[in-house]
Amino acid sequence: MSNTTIDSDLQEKLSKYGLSFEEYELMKLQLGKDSGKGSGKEPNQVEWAVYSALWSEHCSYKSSKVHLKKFACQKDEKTDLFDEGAGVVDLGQGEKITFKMESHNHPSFIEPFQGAATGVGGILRDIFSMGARPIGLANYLCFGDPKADRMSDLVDGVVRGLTHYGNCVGVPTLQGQTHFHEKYNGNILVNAFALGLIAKPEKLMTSIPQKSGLDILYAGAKTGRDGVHGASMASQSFDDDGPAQKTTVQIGDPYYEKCLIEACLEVMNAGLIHAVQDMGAAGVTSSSFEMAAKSGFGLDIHLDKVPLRDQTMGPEEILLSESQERMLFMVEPENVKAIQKIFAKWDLDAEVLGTVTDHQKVRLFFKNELLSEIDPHKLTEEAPAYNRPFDAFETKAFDKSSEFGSTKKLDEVYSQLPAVSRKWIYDQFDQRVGASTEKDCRFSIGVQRLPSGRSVGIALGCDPSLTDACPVWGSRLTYLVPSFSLAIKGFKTLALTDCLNFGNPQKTKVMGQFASSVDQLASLSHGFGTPVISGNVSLYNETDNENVPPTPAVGLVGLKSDQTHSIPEDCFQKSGDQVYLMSLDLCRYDYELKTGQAQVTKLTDGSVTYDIKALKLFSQFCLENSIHWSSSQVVEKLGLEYALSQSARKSRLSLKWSEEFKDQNVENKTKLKLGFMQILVSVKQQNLKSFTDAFEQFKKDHLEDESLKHLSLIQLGEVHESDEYVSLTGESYNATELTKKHETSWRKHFERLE
Amino acid sequence: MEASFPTNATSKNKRVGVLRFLGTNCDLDTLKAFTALGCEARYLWWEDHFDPEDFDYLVLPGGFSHGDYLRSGAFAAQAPVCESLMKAIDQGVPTLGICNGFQILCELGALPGALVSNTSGRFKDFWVRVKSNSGATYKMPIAHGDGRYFLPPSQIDKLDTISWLTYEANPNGSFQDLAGVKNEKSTVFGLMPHPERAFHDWMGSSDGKKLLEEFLGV
Amino acid sequence: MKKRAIVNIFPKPEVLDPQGRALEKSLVRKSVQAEVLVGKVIQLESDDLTSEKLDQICQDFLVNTLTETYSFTLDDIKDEDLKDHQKKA
Repeated sequence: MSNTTIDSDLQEKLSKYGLSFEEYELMKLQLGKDSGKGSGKEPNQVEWAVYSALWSEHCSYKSSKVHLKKFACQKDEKTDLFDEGAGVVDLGQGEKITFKMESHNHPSFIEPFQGAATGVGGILRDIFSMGARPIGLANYLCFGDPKADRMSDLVDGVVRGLTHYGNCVGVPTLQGQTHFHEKYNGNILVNAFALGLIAKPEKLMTSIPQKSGLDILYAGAKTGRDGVHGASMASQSFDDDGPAQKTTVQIGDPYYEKCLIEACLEVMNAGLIHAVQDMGAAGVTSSSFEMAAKSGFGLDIHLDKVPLRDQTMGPEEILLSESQERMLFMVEPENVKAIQKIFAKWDLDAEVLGTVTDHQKVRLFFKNELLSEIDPHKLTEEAPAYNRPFDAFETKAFDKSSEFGSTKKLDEVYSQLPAVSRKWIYDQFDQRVGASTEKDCRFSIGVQRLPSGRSVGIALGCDPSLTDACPVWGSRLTYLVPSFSLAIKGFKTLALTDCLNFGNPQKTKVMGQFASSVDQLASLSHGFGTPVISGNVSLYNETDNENVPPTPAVGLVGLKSDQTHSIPEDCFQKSGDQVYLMSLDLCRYDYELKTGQAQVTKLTDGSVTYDIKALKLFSQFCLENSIHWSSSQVVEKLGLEYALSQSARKSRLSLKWSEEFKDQNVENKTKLKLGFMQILVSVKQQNLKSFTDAFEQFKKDHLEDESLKHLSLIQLGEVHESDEYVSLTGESYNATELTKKHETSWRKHFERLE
Repeated sequence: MEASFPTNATSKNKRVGVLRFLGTNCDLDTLKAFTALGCEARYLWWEDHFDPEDFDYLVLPGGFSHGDYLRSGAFAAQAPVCESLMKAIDQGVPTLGICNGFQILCELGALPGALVSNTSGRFKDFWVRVKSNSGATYKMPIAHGDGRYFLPPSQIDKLDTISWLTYEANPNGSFQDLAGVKNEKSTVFGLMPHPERAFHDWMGSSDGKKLLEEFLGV
Repeated sequence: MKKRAIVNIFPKPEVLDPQGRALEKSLVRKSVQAEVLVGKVIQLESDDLTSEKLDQICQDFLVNTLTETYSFTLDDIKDEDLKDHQKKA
């Protein structure tokens, strides 16, 4: 802190606009340069508003961008990466896809219905503002203990909000994950994912204007007072009066968004649009300044031309309003009429706000009065960035696995929250609008058929109980579980998006979690050759000094080009198929169902290894051999017996353990304990030899690879017709009973939710 | 996205009008399905009138027409295109309403009864089996919040003539398990499940295609 | 004279009202036993509303008389109400 005393007036402003004193000094200096005053210029109200929005954590990534640089990847021919809201992957055959995941945590905790709904709306605008038609949604949700204050209502509100928006706007929800952990009691997470397709007649759009003289066109819904200061709010921790901040909640209208999608794609496809950006957090401000900064041109914007729902709104409120369902276009003046005509057809406004100029400044006018003149480059390029101190994380592997998680009766497992069916949630989503859904939320990956006849798969990842136990190993599994989930279904992972939800970055422990998660994800992304094409950071997920577990959620998208083999199912398919476990034992981890705690333990020989190259080779093996399998699944924290019983109860087929395996010594059976990467498959009889041969060959080919020595193929038995699943230790479970338990246990935890 | 399905010669040249309201979201899916069946399918915009002579069949697809904020289908039933639709129905042009289209046909009075909120009060999406009064069964998905069919006591005597499809397991509390009804002349049909979402085996079933072919008289 | 109409719409007793039922159950937890119906209220302000016209709009559009019942009030808007309203806007 400098030795200047801060008067109470300034203190109040700093706290209202969420800026530090140092940031205020920097702002004065930048404004001074703009107006030729070297000593700095005191900001006026509009300037306070602009800086507050663009320098918020939410818009500026000031605490995270130092680390996010690690994600940067080399541009390869498949990926058109440029500085847009989301990157694009070229699939060939005239098809490109884009996808992104974004958080709406704070608004959803304050007002769950609208918070979740507008989260969906926002992520969809990110997608169609690139010219892509949204073809799939997914969501990643973290709630607290069901018994915690408001939790039942939060779950209900979030689900209703997501379904209300997604169903009405007509984009199918293809995949979802819902986690429960008491550390989310005061700060839930709502992350929305969207996938878009650019195929004829759609074309890829840019947000960077290439010339001056263009008109700036505001399109979509009218502006109201909703969400003023939302961006700076999303960058603050909650305290006692958290949910009282309702005035800043934005209201979403999915019907309007549906019309906006159709109108935007229509004007874009007609070639009427030069550049486009959606109005997200901080509305007109962030979209216009970002477009100007990237282009090297200036903008003259007349704020009084913004269509208003409430005529008494002042320029500051207009600038910061986060009213939903709006877009900003840069267009040739002669196209304005044609665009307005198309927007009128969809019952939407489109008004000219100003022009793109050569003077390289953003000039804001209100009723012809110049309110402010700001250099957009300085504002964005010379924004504050912090390399915040952090505690480096060391992975901790315990010598011996504790007893926990090992011998649990399956019917007990089924009634616990981590295991109960999420059917109640996902049955409420329209999963098939678009008539291209191949696999829905009930399946381990979401699958959508493309017009070319190929399929894209979506898999989400991040298990907070594991990242909480160890951010390093947890973040590894965050990437590896969805990556293997795609590979074992025959999908080659193309790219990933991340949504990094963490606590207060000013705490060294939280910043340490963040840094190690980014390190792990970045090295896997590079090692697997899977670029991070988009991302989002949500910090300050903290209430009353309690920080959420590190939650670096990811969304992976893969492609299946060859349709001659069908996708292996999640559960057993045919009596006589052989059941195998492929286990790559780099370490083990244990999970205690009751407390939700996990721990990483060493292998029996005392070793712990981690080798991305070996993991990539194994993943490649799975991808190539998925054609041999009738079913496949990744064994996750609930263990092998749970995975087997799931497969059995869904199919009404069961596993007959092989006598040979049963007779094996104890040491071999300990392999059934949760290893780092375990894949359970059933192999079609006619493919048995080619599969086992391929495995032997794979092992031979990689003899020199130390880590792959830990890869084994264990034959567990054979699929047979039976309603009973019999565990290795001889307990018998009826399929109907297990299914009943699986589906009805939700009720026990959420009695009030019908 | 353009239609990419192979065409079926048997229903070639049948002219199908697909009504499109603001907020209709199964318009493209429905258009693609009828195109794939070999029909000449085209959109009819909600603000426009049309000549019933120009169409052999009319289809109202699913979605949330005009947001459905008052009641499902209520705004759409007021649209100019529905004036032409009612004329066409009077002239006996075969008409099919799917999901929101069914709700609109009820609002228009072209089909008896009404569709109200599911008993659970929640939107439901899953696969169901329905049986037609001719005995055929179909596996198709539902996706609706207001799918509970209601027939007022005063019209119960019509039940036998209007019954078309019934659920094997009632998902929404519909009266007499009804999933689809028809008018007394058997020219107007409405159903809650989505046949266009059960068109290819990779979707999970192709029974919907069978049903649409039957509607076209193939 | 500007008039204000308030239209109250309720589900008919023979039509199950899931929202009302859910509310009934929650109220029991608050020790309130009540029969609950959840309906809609629509407010219209206009210079040319008559009782007959309003009734017609209700039957044609605002209400589905198969499943819903309705009632309305139609009153002149007093000068001070009008001013209040304008101030808010």
